[in-house]
Amino acid sequence: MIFKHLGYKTTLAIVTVSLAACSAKAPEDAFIHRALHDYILPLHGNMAERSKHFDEVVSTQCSHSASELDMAALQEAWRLNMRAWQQLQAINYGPINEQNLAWKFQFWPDSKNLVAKKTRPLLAENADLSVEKFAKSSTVVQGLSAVEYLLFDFKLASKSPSKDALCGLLSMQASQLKVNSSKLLQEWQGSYGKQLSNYGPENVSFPDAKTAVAYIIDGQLALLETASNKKLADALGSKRKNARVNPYLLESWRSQNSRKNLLANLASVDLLWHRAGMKSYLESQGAKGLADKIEAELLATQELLRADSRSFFSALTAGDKDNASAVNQSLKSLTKLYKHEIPAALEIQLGFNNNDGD
Amino acid sequence: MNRREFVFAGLGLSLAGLFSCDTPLNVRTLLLSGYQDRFNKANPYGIAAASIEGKLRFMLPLPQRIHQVLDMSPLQLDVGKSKNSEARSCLAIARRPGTELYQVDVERGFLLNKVVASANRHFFGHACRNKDGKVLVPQNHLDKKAASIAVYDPADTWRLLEEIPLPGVGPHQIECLSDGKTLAVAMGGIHTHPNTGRRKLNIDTMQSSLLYIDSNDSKVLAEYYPEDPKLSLRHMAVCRDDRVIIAAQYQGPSENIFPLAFSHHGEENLKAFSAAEEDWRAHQQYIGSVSVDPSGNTAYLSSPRAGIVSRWNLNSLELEESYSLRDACGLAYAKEPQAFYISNGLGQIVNVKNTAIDRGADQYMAQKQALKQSQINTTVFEKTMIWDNHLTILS
Repeated sequence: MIFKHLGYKTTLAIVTVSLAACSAKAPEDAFIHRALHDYILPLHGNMAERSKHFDEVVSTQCSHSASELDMAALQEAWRLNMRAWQQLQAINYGPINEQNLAWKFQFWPDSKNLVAKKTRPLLAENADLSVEKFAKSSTVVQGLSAVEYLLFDFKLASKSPSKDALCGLLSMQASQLKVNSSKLLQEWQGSYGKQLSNYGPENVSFPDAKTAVAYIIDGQLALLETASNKKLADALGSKRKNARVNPYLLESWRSQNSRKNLLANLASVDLLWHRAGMKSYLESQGAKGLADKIEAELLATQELLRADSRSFFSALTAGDKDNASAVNQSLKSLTKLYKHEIPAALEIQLGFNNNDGD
Repeated sequence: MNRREFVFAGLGLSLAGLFSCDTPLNVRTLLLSGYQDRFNKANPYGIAAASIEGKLRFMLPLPQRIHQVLDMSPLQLDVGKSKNSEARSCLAIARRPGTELYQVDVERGFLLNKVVASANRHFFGHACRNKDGKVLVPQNHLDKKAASIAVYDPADTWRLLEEIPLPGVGPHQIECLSDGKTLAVAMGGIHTHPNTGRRKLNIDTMQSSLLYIDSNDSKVLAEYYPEDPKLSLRHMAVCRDDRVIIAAQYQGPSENIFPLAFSHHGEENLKAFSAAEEDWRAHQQYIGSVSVDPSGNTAYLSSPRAGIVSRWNLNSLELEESYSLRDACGLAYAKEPQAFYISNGLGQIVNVKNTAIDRGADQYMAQKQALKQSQINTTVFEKTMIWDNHLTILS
């Protein structure tokens, strides 16, 4: 026997390699590989690129000799950065969780208007605001929500804050977004990507292939649950009896970007579904019927979102909630498929203590 | 006539026999938890035990879902009476709105006794045992909006001795303090009724507290309130000197951030743990379990919603470190090998060797990043099992 002359550890290593080779043929392995290379890494790369671009636009504008900022250019760069972040929200595991960075990208929901309340005093400090003080400030003032306040809030604009005051804060916010996005990308390109690929019993984060799959799909579910339970439901007042429609509870009411946020969320779900092979993985597990239902519901929700060119803020302010209600209902249907039918079809666990605590 | 039920040894033997060992344990330390078997729809719930090395010792299916498991090892006062000092057992407590307690022989994995709650009562999943060996179990009253503590005597066929009335609703975890009479009760403050499932019926008017009560005369000794009435105090751990570490699940708006853990040892108020707002935000308003080391230097908090477990210095009440572990909730400390253990909903039990206890703080900080990667190791991975929210270690 070939193992006869080998030591125990060597034999074990060969067995382990053999088992790994066997598991490499599993459909989960192909899906995990595609999810990492066609979804997780490209979206992190896009976020790093868009954050870098926003930082460059801020630098250019703030070093420009003109006395006024080109707000349209800054706003467009912010929208691109926000779109990248909305797509990234489904990847809520890994370094973003371990380093507690999500709140540094976006503070929401904000029913108490903390973004405005906490950003205004920093703006008033003007040139006295130091990098150290900014770093120690609440996460409320550090991310894309606070930037949105500076670039889009009409009450703030009416007070005409000075270019120096805006630039002082914007530069630090943009720089931090760039650094954090880059850090996330590097972590995924390095150790965390390897950790996801090398699942196995000794890997505490990913003890087997199904757990790795569950992480990836749980991220999709978390995104859809937030989209269906928070992003429109609060503004529509559909969660409490006698609650009124309140457009100021929309995610990006200042920039009127909430519809685009949801489109970006679904573009992210679509990306994993089609390009990264989630649909074909589901079909390979004997769940073609479910895959067809998800495909149809995803498409229907996207079509509903595109069916109205107005922002949700405009529509709700005008008293028209039909499209928003229809989108929310469609999001709920899609969420249900992810929450109840996918776990049964794939025999994966999407959280237990979490959803069912005491 | 109450509905107490006494079941003699042997009832669960046939089920336990499938999994139990032929020989008594060589290693005494056991990890115990309620479980749900994902692929057994007919009998999904039960209690399981694993050795500290990670070998599954038994799985015992039970009718109701288990929350906490209580150590029922012979007390000092019993040792002289017992012919077999190895005869250890535990008590598995049904989760809300469960109505049963199961005493289980942990050496063989079979059911010794089943205790059923009195009429119009259900348990909350927690219990404690006092110095006299009596078992005290918080319970909900179904015929009126009230709660009490059922006091059972295991030595007398689990006879129900009395019900100690509580001055509020929604008691959750209970601890028996070292004087033998004082009880610390986490009064979650949330009213529920089985007729409305797990729906919370009084969120707008709820009031949570840490309650101390004298079990001899049912008198309330003291009650301490958190900063916000919606901070539902639910889980706790007690240090050797009776210092109580208690943690909350916030029931208010998601953007409201409060400290979620408190220390209390005779002070006039609960002392909040100290961390940056973003660190509390990372816990997502929910602590599922608390554990302390016996020396009272370190506490662990689990946040299954966030998939993190955090480690705290009990001398300064400051956060030292957070670990990322999906759906992690159960926490327990093992005296041997001096490590904290964490269980989760994915069938994992991992150990975290806390070297900070042995090293100087500065040296520890210098190695913090390396420790984050190196100190967590898998002890158990049973992929079909969902461990329930609490983990217990029998030494």
